Amino acid sequence: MNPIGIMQGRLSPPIGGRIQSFPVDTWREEFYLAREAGLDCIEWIYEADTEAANPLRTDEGVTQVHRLSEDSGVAVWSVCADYYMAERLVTPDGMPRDAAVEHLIWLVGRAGLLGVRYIVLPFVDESSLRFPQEVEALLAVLKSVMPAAEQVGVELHLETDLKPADLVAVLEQLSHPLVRANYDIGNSAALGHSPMEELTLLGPWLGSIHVKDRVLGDGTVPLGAGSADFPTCFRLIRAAGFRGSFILQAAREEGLSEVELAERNRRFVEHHLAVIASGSYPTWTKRELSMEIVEPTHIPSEWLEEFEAAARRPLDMRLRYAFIHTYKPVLDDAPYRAFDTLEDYRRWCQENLPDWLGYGRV
Amino acid sequence: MAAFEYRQAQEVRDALARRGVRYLFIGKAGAILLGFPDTTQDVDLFVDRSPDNCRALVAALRELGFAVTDDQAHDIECGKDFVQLKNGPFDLDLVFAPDGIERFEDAWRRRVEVEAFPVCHLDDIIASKAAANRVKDHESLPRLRSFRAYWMQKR
Repeated sequence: MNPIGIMQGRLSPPIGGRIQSFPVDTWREEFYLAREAGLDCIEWIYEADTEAANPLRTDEGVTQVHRLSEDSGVAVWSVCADYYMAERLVTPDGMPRDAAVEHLIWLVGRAGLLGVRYIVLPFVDESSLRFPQEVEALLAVLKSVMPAAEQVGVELHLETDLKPADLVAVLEQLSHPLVRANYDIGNSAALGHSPMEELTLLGPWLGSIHVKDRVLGDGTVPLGAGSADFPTCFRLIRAAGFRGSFILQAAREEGLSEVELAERNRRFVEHHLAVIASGSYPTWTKRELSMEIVEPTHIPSEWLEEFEAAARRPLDMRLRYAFIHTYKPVLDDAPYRAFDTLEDYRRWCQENLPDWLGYGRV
Repeated sequence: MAAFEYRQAQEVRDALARRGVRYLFIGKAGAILLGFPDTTQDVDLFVDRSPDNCRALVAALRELGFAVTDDQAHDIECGKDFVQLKNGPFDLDLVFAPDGIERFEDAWRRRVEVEAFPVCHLDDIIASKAAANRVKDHESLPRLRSFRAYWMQKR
Protein backbone atom coordinates (compact mmCIF):
# COMPACT_ATOMS: atom_id res chain seq x y z
CA MET A 1 0.00 0.00 0.00
CA ASN A 2 1.18 3.53 -0.73
CA PRO A 3 2.61 5.51 2.21
CA ILE A 4 0.26 8.05 3.75
CA GLY A 5 1.59 11.32 5.10
CA ILE A 6 0.42 14.74 6.13
CA MET A 7 1.14 18.34 5.25
CA GLN A 8 3.30 19.95 7.90
CA GLY A 9 1.41 22.18 10.32
CA ARG A 10 -1.77 20.11 10.18
CA LEU A 11 -0.81 18.36 13.40
CA SER A 12 -0.55 21.67 15.24
CA PRO A 13 -3.21 24.25 16.11
CA PRO A 14 -3.67 26.78 13.27
CA ILE A 15 -1.44 29.86 13.42
CA GLY A 16 -3.09 33.22 12.85
CA GLY A 17 -6.22 31.63 11.41
CA ARG A 18 -4.27 30.21 8.45
CA ILE A 19 -5.19 26.73 7.32
CA GLN A 20 -1.62 25.94 6.29
CA SER A 21 1.68 27.29 7.57
CA PHE A 22 5.07 26.17 8.82
CA PRO A 23 4.63 25.35 12.55
CA VAL A 24 7.43 27.48 13.86
CA ASP A 25 7.09 26.36 17.46
CA THR A 26 5.89 22.78 17.06
CA TRP A 27 7.64 21.29 14.03
CA ARG A 28 9.69 18.98 16.22
CA GLU A 29 6.63 17.64 18.07
CA GLU A 30 4.84 16.98 14.80
CA PHE A 31 7.13 14.02 14.03
CA TYR A 32 5.83 12.20 17.11
CA LEU A 33 2.25 13.29 16.54
CA ALA A 34 2.49 11.91 13.02
CA ARG A 35 3.72 8.63 14.41
CA GLU A 36 0.81 8.60 16.87
CA ALA A 37 -1.60 9.08 13.98
CA GLY A 38 -0.03 6.14 12.16
CA LEU A 39 1.41 8.25 9.36
CA ASP A 40 4.51 7.44 7.32
CA CYS A 41 5.74 10.89 6.37
CA ILE A 42 5.41 14.66 6.64
CA GLU A 43 5.46 17.02 3.66
CA TRP A 44 7.72 19.87 4.74
CA ILE A 45 6.52 23.44 4.23
CA TYR A 46 8.86 26.13 3.04
CA GLU A 47 7.21 29.54 2.99
CA ALA A 48 8.40 33.12 2.78
CA ASP A 49 7.18 34.69 6.02
CA THR A 50 8.56 31.97 8.32
CA GLU A 51 11.73 31.36 6.31
CA ALA A 52 14.03 32.55 9.07
CA ALA A 53 12.67 29.89 11.44
CA ASN A 54 12.79 27.01 8.95
CA PRO A 55 15.51 24.48 9.85
CA LEU A 56 15.91 23.58 6.19
CA ARG A 57 17.93 26.81 5.86
CA THR A 58 20.86 25.62 7.96
CA ASP A 59 22.99 22.50 8.05
CA GLU A 60 22.37 22.25 11.76
CA GLY A 61 18.62 22.37 11.16
CA VAL A 62 18.83 19.66 8.51
CA THR A 63 20.77 17.45 10.90
CA GLN A 64 18.09 17.99 13.52
CA VAL A 65 15.35 17.00 11.04
CA HIS A 66 17.29 13.85 10.16
CA ARG A 67 17.59 12.96 13.82
CA LEU A 68 13.90 13.50 14.55
CA SER A 69 12.91 11.54 11.47
CA GLU A 70 15.09 8.63 12.45
CA ASP A 71 13.90 8.70 16.05
CA SER A 72 10.18 8.91 15.21
CA GLY A 73 10.24 6.69 12.12
CA VAL A 74 8.39 9.43 10.20
CA ALA A 75 10.08 10.37 6.94
CA VAL A 76 10.35 13.69 5.12
CA TRP A 77 10.18 12.82 1.44
CA SER A 78 8.78 16.08 0.08
CA VAL A 79 8.80 19.83 0.41
CA CYS A 80 5.81 22.01 -0.37
CA ALA A 81 7.37 25.23 -1.60
CA ASP A 82 4.66 27.72 -0.66
CA TYR A 83 7.46 30.29 -0.68
CA TYR A 84 6.83 30.83 -4.39
CA MET A 85 3.21 31.74 -3.86
CA ALA A 86 4.37 34.98 -2.29
CA GLU A 87 7.65 35.24 -4.20
CA ARG A 88 6.41 34.27 -7.62
CA LEU A 89 8.75 32.51 -10.04
CA VAL A 90 7.28 34.28 -13.07
CA THR A 91 5.95 37.76 -13.71
CA PRO A 92 2.51 38.34 -15.25
CA ASP A 93 4.19 39.65 -18.41
CA GLY A 94 6.01 36.38 -18.91
CA MET A 95 9.47 36.86 -17.43
CA PRO A 96 11.24 34.59 -14.95
CA ARG A 97 11.87 36.39 -11.65
CA ASP A 98 15.62 35.97 -11.27
CA ALA A 99 15.74 36.27 -7.49
CA ALA A 100 13.02 33.64 -7.04
CA VAL A 101 14.65 31.32 -9.57
CA GLU A 102 17.99 31.62 -7.78
CA HIS A 103 16.18 30.89 -4.54
CA LEU A 104 14.58 27.78 -6.03
CA ILE A 105 17.96 26.52 -7.23
CA TRP A 106 19.21 27.00 -3.67
CA LEU A 107 16.14 25.27 -2.21
CA VAL A 108 16.64 22.29 -4.53
CA GLY A 109 20.13 21.91 -3.10
CA ARG A 110 18.80 22.12 0.44
CA ALA A 111 16.13 19.54 -0.37
CA GLY A 112 18.85 17.27 -1.71
CA LEU A 113 20.71 17.66 1.55
CA LEU A 114 17.58 16.74 3.49
CA GLY A 115 17.16 13.67 1.27
CA VAL A 116 13.72 14.56 -0.06
CA ARG A 117 12.45 13.02 -3.26
CA TYR A 118 10.42 15.93 -4.62
CA ILE A 119 9.44 19.56 -4.22
CA VAL A 120 5.87 20.62 -4.94
CA LEU A 121 5.72 23.99 -6.71
CA PRO A 122 2.28 25.57 -6.25
CA PHE A 123 0.88 27.60 -9.12
CA VAL A 124 -2.57 28.08 -7.66
CA ASP A 125 -4.53 30.96 -6.11
CA GLU A 126 -2.22 34.01 -6.01
CA SER A 127 0.51 32.20 -7.95
CA SER A 128 -1.88 30.81 -10.57
CA LEU A 129 -0.63 30.86 -14.17
CA ARG A 130 -3.30 33.03 -15.76
CA PHE A 131 -1.69 34.01 -19.04
CA PRO A 132 0.05 31.99 -21.77
CA GLN A 133 3.20 34.07 -21.33
CA GLU A 134 3.37 32.96 -17.68
CA VAL A 135 3.33 29.35 -18.80
CA GLU A 136 6.12 30.11 -21.28
CA ALA A 137 8.10 31.76 -18.48
CA LEU A 138 7.56 28.72 -16.26
CA LEU A 139 9.11 26.52 -18.95
CA ALA A 140 12.15 28.79 -18.97
CA VAL A 141 12.34 28.70 -15.18
CA LEU A 142 12.22 24.93 -15.04
CA LYS A 143 14.84 24.55 -17.75
CA SER A 144 17.21 26.71 -15.74
CA VAL A 145 16.51 24.83 -12.49
CA MET A 146 16.77 21.30 -13.88
CA PRO A 147 20.59 21.02 -13.77
CA ALA A 148 20.44 21.63 -10.00
CA ALA A 149 17.60 19.12 -9.64
CA GLU A 150 19.51 16.54 -11.69
CA GLN A 151 22.56 16.99 -9.50
CA VAL A 152 20.68 15.98 -6.35
CA GLY A 153 17.99 13.78 -7.96
CA VAL A 154 15.08 15.85 -6.63
CA GLU A 155 11.87 15.88 -8.68
CA LEU A 156 9.82 19.03 -9.23
CA HIS A 157 6.06 18.51 -9.08
CA LEU A 158 3.82 21.17 -10.57
CA GLU A 159 0.59 21.89 -8.73
CA THR A 160 -1.45 24.08 -11.05
CA ASP A 161 -5.02 25.01 -11.80
CA LEU A 162 -4.37 24.73 -15.54
CA LYS A 163 -6.74 22.64 -17.59
CA PRO A 164 -5.47 19.04 -17.66
CA ALA A 165 -4.54 19.13 -21.34
CA ASP A 166 -2.64 22.39 -20.84
CA LEU A 167 -0.67 20.96 -17.94
CA VAL A 168 0.12 17.85 -19.97
CA ALA A 169 1.29 20.11 -22.80
CA VAL A 170 3.73 21.80 -20.38
CA LEU A 171 4.98 18.44 -19.11
CA GLU A 172 5.34 17.09 -22.62
CA GLN A 173 7.24 20.15 -23.74
CA LEU A 174 9.71 19.68 -20.91
CA SER A 175 9.60 15.91 -21.16
CA HIS A 176 12.02 15.62 -18.25
CA PRO A 177 11.87 12.59 -15.94
CA LEU A 178 12.28 14.82 -12.90
CA VAL A 179 9.33 17.10 -13.75
CA ARG A 180 5.97 15.63 -12.82
CA ALA A 181 2.46 16.64 -11.83
CA ASN A 182 1.03 17.04 -8.38
CA TYR A 183 -2.65 16.16 -8.29
CA ASP A 184 -4.76 17.80 -5.62
CA ILE A 185 -8.03 15.91 -5.37
CA GLY A 186 -9.90 18.72 -3.60
CA ASN A 187 -8.66 21.59 -5.75
CA SER A 188 -9.57 19.64 -8.84
CA ALA A 189 -13.10 19.06 -7.51
CA ALA A 190 -13.46 22.75 -6.64
CA LEU A 191 -12.53 23.66 -10.21
CA GLY A 192 -15.13 21.23 -11.55
CA HIS A 193 -12.56 19.19 -13.46
CA SER A 194 -13.54 15.64 -14.38
CA PRO A 195 -11.24 13.21 -12.55
CA MET A 196 -11.80 10.76 -15.38
CA GLU A 197 -10.48 13.17 -17.97
CA GLU A 198 -7.84 14.67 -15.73
CA LEU A 199 -6.33 11.53 -14.29
CA THR A 200 -6.46 9.68 -17.58
CA LEU A 201 -4.42 12.48 -19.12
CA LEU A 202 -2.14 13.06 -16.14
CA GLY A 203 -1.70 9.38 -15.23
CA PRO A 204 1.69 8.95 -16.86
CA TRP A 205 2.92 12.20 -15.27
CA LEU A 206 1.60 11.72 -11.74
CA GLY A 207 4.27 12.44 -9.17
CA SER A 208 2.41 13.23 -5.97
CA ILE A 209 -1.08 13.50 -4.54
CA HIS A 210 -2.65 15.90 -2.07
CA VAL A 211 -5.76 14.53 -0.41
CA LYS A 212 -8.38 17.09 0.48
CA ASP A 213 -12.02 17.74 -0.29
CA ARG A 214 -13.64 20.95 -1.50
CA VAL A 215 -17.08 22.00 -2.59
CA LEU A 216 -17.39 23.00 -6.25
CA GLY A 217 -16.27 26.61 -6.48
CA ASP A 218 -15.83 26.81 -2.73
CA GLY A 219 -13.54 26.01 0.18
CA THR A 220 -12.08 23.00 1.97
CA VAL A 221 -14.42 20.68 3.85
CA PRO A 222 -13.90 17.37 5.70
CA LEU A 223 -12.97 14.41 3.49
CA GLY A 224 -16.07 12.97 1.88
CA ALA A 225 -18.24 16.04 2.55
CA GLY A 226 -17.41 17.95 -0.62
CA SER A 227 -17.47 17.52 -4.38
CA ALA A 228 -14.45 15.22 -4.70
CA ASP A 229 -15.22 11.83 -6.24
CA PHE A 230 -12.79 9.85 -4.12
CA PRO A 231 -13.66 6.35 -5.39
CA THR A 232 -13.01 7.41 -8.98
CA CYS A 233 -9.89 9.38 -8.07
CA PHE A 234 -8.31 6.56 -6.07
CA ARG A 235 -9.18 3.98 -8.72
CA LEU A 236 -7.64 6.03 -11.50
CA ILE A 237 -4.60 6.98 -9.44
CA ARG A 238 -4.03 3.31 -8.80
CA ALA A 239 -4.71 2.47 -12.43
CA ALA A 240 -1.97 4.94 -13.35
CA GLY A 241 0.47 2.82 -11.37
CA PHE A 242 1.10 5.57 -8.79
CA ARG A 243 3.37 4.34 -6.03
CA GLY A 244 4.09 7.58 -4.22
CA SER A 245 2.63 8.87 -0.99
CA PHE A 246 -0.80 10.35 -0.35
CA ILE A 247 -0.41 13.58 1.58
CA LEU A 248 -3.35 14.56 3.77
CA GLN A 249 -4.23 18.22 3.46
CA ALA A 250 -7.76 18.01 4.79
CA ALA A 251 -9.90 20.61 6.53
CA ARG A 252 -9.70 20.98 10.26
CA GLU A 253 -12.74 19.94 12.28
CA GLU A 254 -14.02 21.21 15.57
CA GLY A 255 -14.30 18.65 18.35
CA LEU A 256 -11.41 16.55 17.04
CA SER A 257 -7.79 17.01 17.96
CA GLU A 258 -5.29 17.34 15.12
CA VAL A 259 -4.01 13.81 15.79
CA GLU A 260 -7.49 12.28 15.95
CA LEU A 261 -8.41 13.98 12.70
CA ALA A 262 -5.19 12.87 11.02
CA GLU A 263 -5.79 9.30 12.13
CA ARG A 264 -9.37 9.35 10.85
CA ASN A 265 -8.27 10.79 7.52
CA ARG A 266 -5.52 8.19 7.23
CA ARG A 267 -8.17 5.51 7.69
CA PHE A 268 -10.29 7.21 5.04
CA VAL A 269 -7.49 6.85 2.48
CA GLU A 270 -6.64 3.33 3.62
CA HIS A 271 -10.27 2.33 3.28
CA HIS A 272 -10.42 3.51 -0.34
CA LEU A 273 -7.16 1.81 -1.20
CA ALA A 274 -8.34 -1.41 0.43
CA VAL A 275 -11.63 -1.35 -1.47
CA ILE A 276 -9.74 -1.03 -4.73
CA ALA A 277 -7.29 -3.75 -3.77
CA SER A 278 -10.19 -6.06 -2.94
CA GLY A 279 -11.53 -5.67 -6.46
CA SER A 280 -14.80 -3.98 -5.48
CA TYR A 281 -15.42 -1.19 -7.93
CA PRO A 282 -18.72 0.55 -7.33
CA THR A 283 -19.93 3.20 -9.80
CA TRP A 284 -17.58 2.39 -12.65
CA THR A 285 -17.87 4.49 -15.77
CA LYS A 286 -17.89 2.69 -19.10
CA ARG A 287 -14.22 3.32 -19.74
CA GLU A 288 -13.25 2.47 -16.18
CA LEU A 289 -15.11 -0.80 -16.52
CA SER A 290 -12.70 -1.74 -19.26
CA MET A 291 -9.78 -1.40 -16.83
CA GLU A 292 -10.95 -3.92 -14.22
CA ILE A 293 -7.63 -3.53 -12.54
CA VAL A 294 -5.76 -6.72 -11.77
CA GLU A 295 -3.34 -6.58 -8.88
CA PRO A 296 0.17 -7.74 -9.87
CA THR A 297 -0.03 -10.34 -7.12
CA HIS A 298 -3.12 -11.84 -8.77
CA ILE A 299 -1.52 -12.61 -12.12
CA PRO A 300 -1.77 -16.37 -12.70
CA SER A 301 1.70 -17.84 -12.40
CA GLU A 302 1.72 -19.43 -15.86
CA TRP A 303 0.82 -16.10 -17.44
CA LEU A 304 3.45 -14.32 -15.42
CA GLU A 305 6.06 -16.76 -16.71
CA GLU A 306 4.91 -16.08 -20.26
CA PHE A 307 5.07 -12.30 -19.74
CA GLU A 308 8.56 -12.54 -18.33
CA ALA A 309 9.72 -14.84 -21.10
CA ALA A 310 8.33 -12.44 -23.71
CA ALA A 311 10.05 -9.50 -22.01
CA ARG A 312 13.38 -11.26 -22.48
CA ARG A 313 12.86 -11.62 -26.23
CA PRO A 314 13.84 -8.88 -28.67
CA LEU A 315 11.02 -7.25 -30.57
CA ASP A 316 11.75 -8.94 -33.90
CA MET A 317 11.49 -12.34 -32.24
CA ARG A 318 8.28 -11.37 -30.45
CA LEU A 319 6.71 -10.38 -33.75
CA ARG A 320 7.92 -13.57 -35.43
CA TYR A 321 6.15 -15.63 -32.79
CA ALA A 322 3.05 -13.43 -32.74
CA PHE A 323 1.86 -13.05 -36.31
CA ILE A 324 0.32 -16.04 -37.99
CA HIS A 325 -1.83 -16.33 -41.05
CA THR A 326 -4.69 -18.73 -41.52
CA TYR A 327 -7.56 -18.44 -43.94
CA LYS A 328 -10.66 -16.85 -42.46
CA PRO A 329 -13.73 -17.70 -44.52
CA VAL A 330 -15.72 -14.77 -45.90
CA LEU A 331 -13.48 -12.24 -44.19
CA ASP A 332 -10.54 -13.09 -46.44
CA ASP A 333 -12.61 -13.43 -49.59
CA ALA A 334 -12.52 -9.80 -50.65
CA PRO A 335 -9.43 -7.67 -51.17
CA TYR A 336 -11.06 -4.53 -49.83
CA ARG A 337 -13.95 -3.44 -47.64
CA ALA A 338 -14.93 -0.09 -46.16
CA PHE A 339 -17.65 0.78 -43.69
CA ASP A 340 -19.12 4.16 -42.94
CA THR A 341 -19.26 3.41 -39.23
CA LEU A 342 -17.66 0.86 -36.99
CA GLU A 343 -21.15 -0.20 -35.99
CA ASP A 344 -21.84 -1.07 -39.67
CA TYR A 345 -18.71 -3.22 -39.67
CA ARG A 346 -19.66 -4.95 -36.43
CA ARG A 347 -23.15 -5.67 -37.81
CA TRP A 348 -21.67 -7.01 -41.05
CA CYS A 349 -19.39 -9.35 -39.06
CA GLN A 350 -22.31 -10.53 -36.97
CA GLU A 351 -24.45 -11.27 -40.00
CA ASN A 352 -21.86 -12.68 -42.38
CA LEU A 353 -19.01 -14.36 -40.55
CA PRO A 354 -19.12 -17.84 -39.04
CA ASP A 355 -19.63 -17.68 -35.28
CA TRP A 356 -16.50 -19.64 -34.54
CA LEU A 357 -14.31 -16.80 -35.86
CA GLY A 358 -15.32 -14.88 -32.74
CA TYR A 359 -16.21 -11.58 -34.42
CA GLY A 360 -19.78 -11.59 -33.09
CA ARG A 361 -20.80 -9.60 -30.02
CA VAL A 362 -20.89 -11.41 -26.71
CA MET B 1 -0.75 -14.33 -47.92
CA ALA B 2 2.23 -14.62 -45.60
CA ALA B 3 2.15 -13.53 -41.97
CA PHE B 4 3.21 -10.04 -41.00
CA GLU B 5 6.92 -9.81 -40.28
CA TYR B 6 9.16 -7.50 -38.29
CA ARG B 7 10.69 -6.21 -41.51
CA GLN B 8 7.23 -5.22 -42.73
CA ALA B 9 6.48 -3.54 -39.42
CA GLN B 10 9.62 -1.49 -39.91
CA GLU B 11 8.57 -0.64 -43.46
CA VAL B 12 5.16 0.51 -42.25
CA ARG B 13 6.75 2.60 -39.52
CA ASP B 14 9.30 4.15 -41.86
CA ALA B 15 6.95 4.80 -44.78
CA LEU B 16 4.34 6.44 -42.55
CA ALA B 17 6.98 8.43 -40.70
CA ARG B 18 8.47 9.72 -43.98
CA ARG B 19 5.08 11.15 -44.90
CA GLY B 20 4.33 12.42 -41.42
CA VAL B 21 1.27 10.21 -40.95
CA ARG B 22 -0.20 10.34 -37.44
CA TYR B 23 -1.32 6.83 -36.48
CA LEU B 24 -1.04 4.32 -33.66
CA PHE B 25 -0.81 0.56 -33.57
CA ILE B 26 -3.90 -0.66 -31.78
CA GLY B 27 -5.58 -3.99 -31.07
CA LYS B 28 -3.66 -7.12 -30.34
CA ALA B 29 -0.85 -6.08 -32.68
CA GLY B 30 -0.38 -3.00 -30.51
CA ALA B 31 -0.38 -5.08 -27.34
CA ILE B 32 2.18 -7.43 -28.87
CA LEU B 33 4.45 -4.48 -29.63
CA LEU B 34 4.17 -3.55 -25.95
CA GLY B 35 5.32 -7.05 -25.01
CA PHE B 36 2.08 -9.02 -24.75
CA PRO B 37 2.82 -12.63 -25.71
CA ASP B 38 -0.02 -13.77 -27.97
CA THR B 39 -0.82 -14.45 -31.59
CA THR B 40 -2.80 -12.45 -34.11
CA GLN B 41 -3.42 -12.32 -37.82
CA ASP B 42 -4.11 -8.68 -38.51
CA VAL B 43 -2.42 -5.38 -38.07
CA ASP B 44 -4.76 -2.64 -36.88
CA LEU B 45 -3.82 1.00 -37.21
CA PHE B 46 -5.75 3.79 -35.51
CA VAL B 47 -5.34 6.75 -37.83
CA ASP B 48 -5.94 10.46 -37.28
CA ARG B 49 -8.73 11.15 -39.76
CA SER B 50 -7.77 14.70 -40.75
CA PRO B 51 -7.83 15.02 -44.58
CA ASP B 52 -4.12 15.82 -44.93
CA ASN B 53 -3.21 12.89 -42.74
CA CYS B 54 -5.40 10.52 -44.74
CA ARG B 55 -3.93 11.73 -48.03
CA ALA B 56 -0.44 11.11 -46.67
CA LEU B 57 -1.58 7.68 -45.50
CA VAL B 58 -2.83 6.71 -48.95
CA ALA B 59 0.49 7.71 -50.48
CA ALA B 60 2.36 5.67 -47.88
CA LEU B 61 0.12 2.64 -48.42
CA ARG B 62 0.77 2.73 -52.15
CA GLU B 63 4.47 2.99 -51.47
CA LEU B 64 4.20 -0.10 -49.27
CA GLY B 65 2.61 -2.06 -52.12
CA PHE B 66 -1.09 -1.80 -51.37
CA ALA B 67 -3.10 -1.57 -54.59
CA VAL B 68 -5.26 1.31 -53.42
CA THR B 69 -7.55 2.48 -56.22
CA ASP B 70 -8.71 6.06 -56.51
CA ASP B 71 -12.16 5.11 -55.22
CA GLN B 72 -10.63 3.37 -52.24
CA ALA B 73 -8.36 6.35 -51.64
CA HIS B 74 -11.50 8.48 -51.63
CA ASP B 75 -13.02 6.20 -48.96
CA ILE B 76 -9.95 6.57 -46.80
CA GLU B 77 -9.77 10.30 -47.28
CA CYS B 78 -13.46 10.96 -46.80
CA GLY B 79 -14.31 9.65 -43.43
CA LYS B 80 -15.09 5.93 -43.47
CA ASP B 81 -14.79 4.63 -39.93
CA PHE B 82 -13.26 1.31 -40.88
CA VAL B 83 -11.29 0.11 -43.91
CA GLN B 84 -10.02 -3.41 -44.42
CA LEU B 85 -7.14 -3.87 -46.85
CA LYS B 86 -6.23 -7.29 -48.15
CA ASN B 87 -4.79 -5.98 -51.39
CA GLY B 88 -1.21 -5.58 -50.27
CA PRO B 89 1.75 -7.45 -48.85
CA PHE B 90 -0.11 -8.12 -45.57
CA ASP B 91 -3.59 -7.68 -44.10
CA LEU B 92 -4.18 -4.25 -42.67
CA ASP B 93 -7.19 -2.76 -40.90
CA LEU B 94 -7.48 1.01 -40.73
CA VAL B 95 -9.62 2.16 -37.83
CA PHE B 96 -10.59 5.79 -37.66
CA ALA B 97 -13.02 5.64 -34.73
CA PRO B 98 -12.28 2.67 -32.49
CA ASP B 99 -14.76 1.69 -29.82
CA GLY B 100 -13.93 2.95 -26.36
CA ILE B 101 -11.68 5.85 -27.40
CA GLU B 102 -13.32 9.20 -27.91
CA ARG B 103 -10.70 11.13 -29.84
CA PHE B 104 -7.47 10.35 -31.64
CA GLU B 105 -5.83 13.23 -29.78
CA ASP B 106 -6.52 11.58 -26.44
CA ALA B 107 -4.93 8.32 -27.50
CA TRP B 108 -2.03 10.17 -29.17
CA ARG B 109 -1.27 11.97 -25.91
CA ARG B 110 -1.19 8.66 -24.05
CA ARG B 111 0.78 6.78 -26.70
CA VAL B 112 3.83 4.64 -25.99
CA GLU B 113 6.79 4.42 -28.36
CA VAL B 114 8.49 1.05 -28.81
CA GLU B 115 11.53 1.21 -31.09
CA ALA B 116 9.89 4.25 -32.72
CA PHE B 117 6.65 2.32 -33.32
CA PRO B 118 3.83 4.55 -32.03
CA VAL B 119 1.51 2.34 -30.01
CA CYS B 120 -1.73 3.02 -28.16
CA HIS B 121 -1.38 2.92 -24.40
CA LEU B 122 -2.42 -0.49 -23.11
CA ASP B 123 -5.39 1.12 -21.34
CA ASP B 124 -6.68 2.32 -24.70
CA ILE B 125 -6.19 -1.10 -26.26
CA ILE B 126 -8.08 -2.68 -23.38
CA ALA B 127 -10.77 0.02 -23.49
CA SER B 128 -11.37 -0.54 -27.20
CA LYS B 129 -11.54 -4.31 -26.82
CA ALA B 130 -13.86 -4.06 -23.81
CA ALA B 131 -16.14 -1.66 -25.69
CA ALA B 132 -16.14 -3.81 -28.84
CA ASN B 133 -17.21 -6.75 -26.68
CA ARG B 134 -16.77 -9.41 -29.34
CA VAL B 135 -16.37 -13.06 -28.44
CA LYS B 136 -12.67 -12.99 -29.30
CA ASP B 137 -12.13 -9.84 -27.25
CA HIS B 138 -14.00 -11.34 -24.33
CA GLU B 139 -11.65 -14.32 -24.45
CA SER B 140 -8.46 -12.30 -24.58
CA LEU B 141 -9.30 -9.58 -22.05
CA PRO B 142 -8.53 -11.43 -18.77
CA ARG B 143 -5.01 -12.24 -19.96
CA LEU B 144 -4.59 -8.74 -21.39
CA ARG B 145 -5.64 -7.19 -18.08
CA SER B 146 -3.17 -9.38 -16.24
CA PHE B 147 -0.51 -8.30 -18.69
CA ARG B 148 -1.43 -4.70 -17.95
CA ALA B 149 -0.69 -5.26 -14.25
CA TYR B 150 2.69 -6.74 -15.20
CA TRP B 151 3.46 -4.03 -17.74
CA MET B 152 2.54 -1.11 -15.47
CA GLN B 153 4.80 -2.51 -12.80
CA LYS B 154 7.73 -2.91 -15.18
CA ARG B 155 7.42 0.48 -16.88
